[in-house]
Amino acid sequence: MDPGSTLSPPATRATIHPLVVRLCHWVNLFAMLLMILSGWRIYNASPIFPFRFPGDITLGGWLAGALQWHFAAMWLLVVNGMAYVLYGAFSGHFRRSLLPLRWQAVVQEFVNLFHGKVSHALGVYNPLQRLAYLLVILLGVALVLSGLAIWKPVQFQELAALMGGYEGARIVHFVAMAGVVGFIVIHVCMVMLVPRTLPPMITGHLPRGARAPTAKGG
Amino acid sequence: MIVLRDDLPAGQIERIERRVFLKRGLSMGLLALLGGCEVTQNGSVQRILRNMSQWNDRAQGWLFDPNKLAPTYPESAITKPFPFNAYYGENEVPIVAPESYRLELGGLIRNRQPWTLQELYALPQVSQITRHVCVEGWSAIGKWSGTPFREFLQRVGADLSAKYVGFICADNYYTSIDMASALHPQTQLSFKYGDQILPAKYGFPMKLRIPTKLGFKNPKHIMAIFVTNTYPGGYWEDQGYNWFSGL
Amino acid sequence: MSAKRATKCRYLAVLLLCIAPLDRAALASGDDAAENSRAGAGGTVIMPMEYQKSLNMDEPMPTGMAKPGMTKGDVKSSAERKKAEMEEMMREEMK
Repeated sequence: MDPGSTLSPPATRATIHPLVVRLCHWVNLFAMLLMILSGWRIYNASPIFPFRFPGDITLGGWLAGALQWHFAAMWLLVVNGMAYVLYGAFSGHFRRSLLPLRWQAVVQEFVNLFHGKVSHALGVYNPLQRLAYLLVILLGVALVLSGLAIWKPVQFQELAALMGGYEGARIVHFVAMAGVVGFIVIHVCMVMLVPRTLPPMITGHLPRGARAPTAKGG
Repeated sequence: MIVLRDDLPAGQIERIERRVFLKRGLSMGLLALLGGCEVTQNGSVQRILRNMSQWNDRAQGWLFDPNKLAPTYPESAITKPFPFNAYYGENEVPIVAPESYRLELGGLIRNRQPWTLQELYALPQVSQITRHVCVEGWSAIGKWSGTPFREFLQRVGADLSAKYVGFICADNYYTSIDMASALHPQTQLSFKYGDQILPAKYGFPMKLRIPTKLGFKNPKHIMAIFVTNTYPGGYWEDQGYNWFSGL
Repeated sequence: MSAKRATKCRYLAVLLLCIAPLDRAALASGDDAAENSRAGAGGTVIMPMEYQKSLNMDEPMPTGMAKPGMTKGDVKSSAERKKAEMEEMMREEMK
């Protein structure tokens, strides 16, 4: 994608989401759902806050079932996540699409949000999007690391110690999950508000008749 | 699901179909995931989950560092009261008479002579204050004293190259562990909890304290120990909990 | 544990049941004396092999680990099945 391109006639449909990004996105959605829904069932067995998740929306049927799903899906989540991060770092995708992230631009975009004037040019992430996507990647890393600390507080005791030991890691794990769930809710709402962003995340290119993106925002 | 509108260009029909399919697919997928739904109860799905658990046993075996000690704590950190957990209530705990108790040994062990409590108590003892982690998620710190299991196995001439050590308990509970974890320096045949002889609720006369595994792999009221190369499983493990369950 | 030894243990247990004193030995810790001298059916101390009689086998398990529908009796039936399986396989192993 040419960052400096001006308006060009859509002779071919420009690719705005690379194949790896799209694949990783949907695999991640699947893996995250399995992890979150089974994780809620596991949480219910010994809640750390004064509430339980409704059993009907959890995965696994009982504690052993939930654990089976959780420890199976974790491989998918981690392998897919690593593939995405490695691709993003080495192909330049992160550099092109998520960076730079300027704080003035983020603040400005927040202001625009309240005036209902956030930019949603296809193929270009506005500053709020960049912030959100970078944050959710960090939250994902926090989930995996705290998960490892909970799973193996003896073998990974140094990692667990960074989070306040076994019990501390449970809290980090829950808070990071809450952050990811919050992201998912906002993310899905945004897609529903601007539904034309969805097809490109499957096909990779702009719909027929759309213009290729112009200058990068932020 | 298919929208037939002649006035729409082909590409648009394609997109609408795809969008509807996606939405349907996602919500079906979501519904399918919910507990009790047929897809998750499906035999092959269950088989895959069991196989993944066995794969995790292997992975955990590789991750296990036999020299890595579980963190220990000061006396002040001990959880009081230490929780009781079993498949029955505290008032249904098995009572084992000490005089007639004999620890039975079986399998790949050279000297399978049963042990009396007197003989067991005469063994060299050590203490540990470690964290007990339950598969349910909670944890508690406790103090256990007893004889190092590794030394006991050596003393009775157990085949240390065998794969499994199995346990049979007074309440019919049973479990097994891998030999590497059995030989870990902190794995202990415990006779005391908190400097007092193990009360019945914590496993009198003897429990296996293994701080490198989850709570349900720390059998209480042990009546028999055996060494084997045949996978012995365990009550909870056979029901679907992970067998290795290493911390 | 071999079948022969298990049978031997069972007979020994029954024998001791008849002659064992009601008091716990000095090995029991003081504050557990009351708990440990709990009598089973017939006023005797409960021996290991007799344990299953004191449990209500049809009651659900009071633990978060249980699958809905599991009862206390499930452990005994699983243990018996496992014992039969293991005895056969271990006998082969020891040849």
